[in-house]
Amino acid sequence: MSFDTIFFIFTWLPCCLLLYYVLPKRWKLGYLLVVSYLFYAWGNLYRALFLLFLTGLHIQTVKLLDNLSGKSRMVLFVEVLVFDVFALCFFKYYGTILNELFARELLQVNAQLPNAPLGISFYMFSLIGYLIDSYRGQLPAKKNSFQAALYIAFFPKLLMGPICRYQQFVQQLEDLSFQPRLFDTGASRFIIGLAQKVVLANTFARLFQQLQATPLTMLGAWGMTLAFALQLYFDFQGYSQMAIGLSNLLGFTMPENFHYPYLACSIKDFWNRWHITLSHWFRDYVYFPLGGSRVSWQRHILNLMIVWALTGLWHGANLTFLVWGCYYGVLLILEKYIWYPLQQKLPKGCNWAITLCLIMIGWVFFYSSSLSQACQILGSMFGSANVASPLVVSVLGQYAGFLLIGIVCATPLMEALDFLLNMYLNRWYYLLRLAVMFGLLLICIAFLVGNTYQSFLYFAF
Amino acid sequence: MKHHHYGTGILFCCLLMLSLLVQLIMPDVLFSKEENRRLATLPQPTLRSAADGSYAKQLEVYHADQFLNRYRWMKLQTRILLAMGQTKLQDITITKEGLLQEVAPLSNDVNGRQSADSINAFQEAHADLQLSFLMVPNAIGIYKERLHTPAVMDQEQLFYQFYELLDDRIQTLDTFQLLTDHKEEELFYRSDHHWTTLAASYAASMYLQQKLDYQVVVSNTHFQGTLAHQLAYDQFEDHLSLFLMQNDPDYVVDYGSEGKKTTTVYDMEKQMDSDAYAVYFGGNHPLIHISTTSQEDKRLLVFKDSYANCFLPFLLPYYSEITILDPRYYYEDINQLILDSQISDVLFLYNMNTFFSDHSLYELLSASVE
Repeated sequence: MSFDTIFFIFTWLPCCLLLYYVLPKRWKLGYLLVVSYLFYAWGNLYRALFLLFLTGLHIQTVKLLDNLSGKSRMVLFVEVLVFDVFALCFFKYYGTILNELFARELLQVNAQLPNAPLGISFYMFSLIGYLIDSYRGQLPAKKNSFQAALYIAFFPKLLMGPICRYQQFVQQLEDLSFQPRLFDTGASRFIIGLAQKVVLANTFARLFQQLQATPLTMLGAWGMTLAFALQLYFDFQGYSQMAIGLSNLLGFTMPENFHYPYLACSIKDFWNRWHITLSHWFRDYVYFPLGGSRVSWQRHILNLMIVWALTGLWHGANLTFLVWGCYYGVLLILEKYIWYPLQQKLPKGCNWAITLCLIMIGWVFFYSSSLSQACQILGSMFGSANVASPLVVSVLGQYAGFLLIGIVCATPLMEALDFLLNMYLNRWYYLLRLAVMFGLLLICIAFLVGNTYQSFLYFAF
Repeated sequence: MKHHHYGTGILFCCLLMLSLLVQLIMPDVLFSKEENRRLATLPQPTLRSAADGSYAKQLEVYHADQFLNRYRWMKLQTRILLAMGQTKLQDITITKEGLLQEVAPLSNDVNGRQSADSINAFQEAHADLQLSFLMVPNAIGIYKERLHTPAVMDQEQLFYQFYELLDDRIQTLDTFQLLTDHKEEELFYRSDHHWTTLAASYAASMYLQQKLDYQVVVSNTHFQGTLAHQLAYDQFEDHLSLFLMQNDPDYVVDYGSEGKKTTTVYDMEKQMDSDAYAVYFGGNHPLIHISTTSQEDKRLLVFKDSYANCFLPFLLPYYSEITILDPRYYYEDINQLILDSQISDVLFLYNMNTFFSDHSLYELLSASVE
C-alpha cells in the first residue's frame, strides 16, 4: 500500500485514526502493531510473515544478549549480524548475480526466486541498529517485546524511512495521548508531502522521460539531469514528509530526512542535508566502528571509501550505484585533504555553484543504466554533442512553470514567506494558511484521481 | 505569545471523516457516461486473492473508480496542467484546432515488418483472392505542423515505408496523399481519435474507383469524443454526420454469435451517447456479416479496426456480401470463414496508431498460415 493512493488517504487513514483515538490508551500499542502488519501484509502476506520472523529473531537475540557475556555473547551477535547482512544482500542483489552467472554461462537453470520484500533496505537497518545498540548496552534495561516489534514495523516509516533509533521511538510510547498541536502539524506536513509527490515529483518524472526520448544535446542532458534531481528530491522528500506527517497524526515525532540539500556549499554539507537519517546510520554503525577520522590518514581514506561504497550499493545492485557511492567517497576525501583551504577562500556562492555542479554529475551515474551511458551523457553535458535542439527547447518551455515552482520549493523561500506573512498578517495569516492548505489538498486530489485514469480503456477504437 | 491555530488539523480530519461517510452512504456507480466505461464494483475477497495481493489491487481500483465526482477531478487536473503551460497530456497534444493523439508503436515491431510479413504470407496462401490494404494516417500525421513538439513517429515516412514492405500483388491505397490533398476540409474530429465520414467518403471513392452519390444527414451536433473524455477536456465539440448512399440496396446485418440481426448499419440509439461514433454498427464486434441485394457478385472480407465503421456503409451497393472481422475480438479459423463465405476480395483497413501498436492482426494471420 502506498501513501499516495485514494484508498490509503480516504479509506485506510480515516479508519485508522478514528479507531486509534477511540481506543483506550492501554490498547493503542497493540492496535498500532496490528495496523502496521496489516499495512505491510496488504498486497503480499508473505512479506509480513518474513518481517514477523526477523522481528521475532531479533527480539529473542536481544533477550539472550542481555543474559550472556564474553565470547558467547559476541558469537551470537556476530551470527545474527551476518545473517542480517546476508538476507539484505541476498534479496537486493541475487537478481544481478543471477544475470551475471547466466551471462557467463555458469548457471544453467533459470530459478524463479521471490521478489525482494518491499522496504527491506529500510527495516533491515532498523533491525541491525537495534541489534548493535543492544550489544553496545545502549538500550534501556527494561525491554518490551511489543514496543520493539512496533519500532520495527511502525507503518509510517516502514517502507521508506526515516530511519529512526530505537530509544527515540520507544520513549514516545510512554505517552500516547492526543496532542492537538502535533496533529495539526502532521496534517500540514502530510498535505505538503503529498503535493510534493503527486504534483511535483510525478511531473518531473514525465519531463525526465520526455527528455530521455530526445537525441542527446548539451541542454537536453542538463535538463534531464535537473529534472531527475528535482524528481528524486520531491519524490523522496514528499514521501518523508508524508511519513513524518502520519507519525505526527498518531502522536509520534520522527527525525527529519532532508534540509534543502541543493543549497549545500560543500559535499560534506550536502550529505548533512540529503537523506540525513541514512548518512547518520552509516556514520554511527559503520564509519565510527571502523575508527572514523581518529586514525591515520591512510586508514581514514579507506574508512571513507568503505562507507561510501556501501552507501552506493545500498541504493542498488547496478555498478553505476557503486560508482556513484565511490564518487562521493573520493569527493569527500579531496574536500578533506586538498580542497578545504581553497573552499575557505572562495565566496559562498562559488562554493555553492561548484557543489551543485558536482551533485548533478553524481546524479548522472545514479539514473544511468550503465557506465557507458553515463559517460555519454556526461560528454554531452560538457560539449561533445550539439548545444540544443528545437525539440528540447520546446519540451523545457512547456515545463518552465513547473521548473520554476520546483526550484523555489527546493529552497527555503516558501518557509521565509510563511514566516513573513505570519509576522505581518497576524490573525489573517491563519485564514490564508488554511485556504492555501485546502487549495493544495484539492489540487492533490485532482492529480491523484487524474493519475488513476486507465488509458487502455480509451483505446476502445 | 501567539496562539497555535488548529485549522489545518480540523480541516484535514473533517475531510477524511466526510469522505468515509460519503463512501458508506453513496451507492456504487456502475457506468461512467463521461469516461464511457464500466466502473469497478466492490470486489469479493477470497483467501487466495487476499494472500497474493490481487484483492488489494482490486480494492484500490474500486476506490479510485468510485471516488465522488471523479470526472470533475480529472477536469481540474487537466485545467491545472494547461494553466501551467502543458500542451501535451498523456499521449494527446492540445492545439487550437483540436486534439491530436499519438500512440507509441510496439517496441518489438516499430516499422510493422512482422505484420507486413504476415499479410504477405496470407496473400501467398490465398493467391486467388484480391487483397487491398488501406492504411489511414491519423490527424497527427496529416497536421504535423500544428504540433508544438515533433511527433515521436513520422507517420508520413512510416506510411510509405510500410507500403514498400507489402507484396506487389496487394493493392495499396495512398490515403496519405488523398487526405493531404483535402487537408483544409474537416477530415478528423477535433475531440475524437476517428476520422470523419467525409474523409472516409474520399477513401471509399478511391477504393471503389467511383464517384459516390450520397445525402448528408447531421446526426449529432454536440459530439465530444474519446480524446475529450480521456483528458476531461470539453472545449471542442464536433458534428457527427451520416452519409446515406442514394443507391443503397436492401441488406441484413448479422452480428454472428451475438444473436442480433438488423436491417440497418446504424444504431440510432447510440447517436446521442457519449460515444456517438458507435452509431455505426453499435461499436465494435468480433464478426459481422452483411448480405445485400446488390447485383455485384463480389464477396468482401474486411480485417479492420473502428476506422472502418464509418467507411463500410459506402461499400454496400458494390458487394453482395461483406464479412467484417475485428482481429482483436475474433479467435476462429479464418481459412474456414473464407471458404464458407466464398470470399473473393479482402480489404485491410486500419488507422496507423492502432496498426503499429497492436499485434492482433499479425497473430490471427500467422495462426491461419501455420
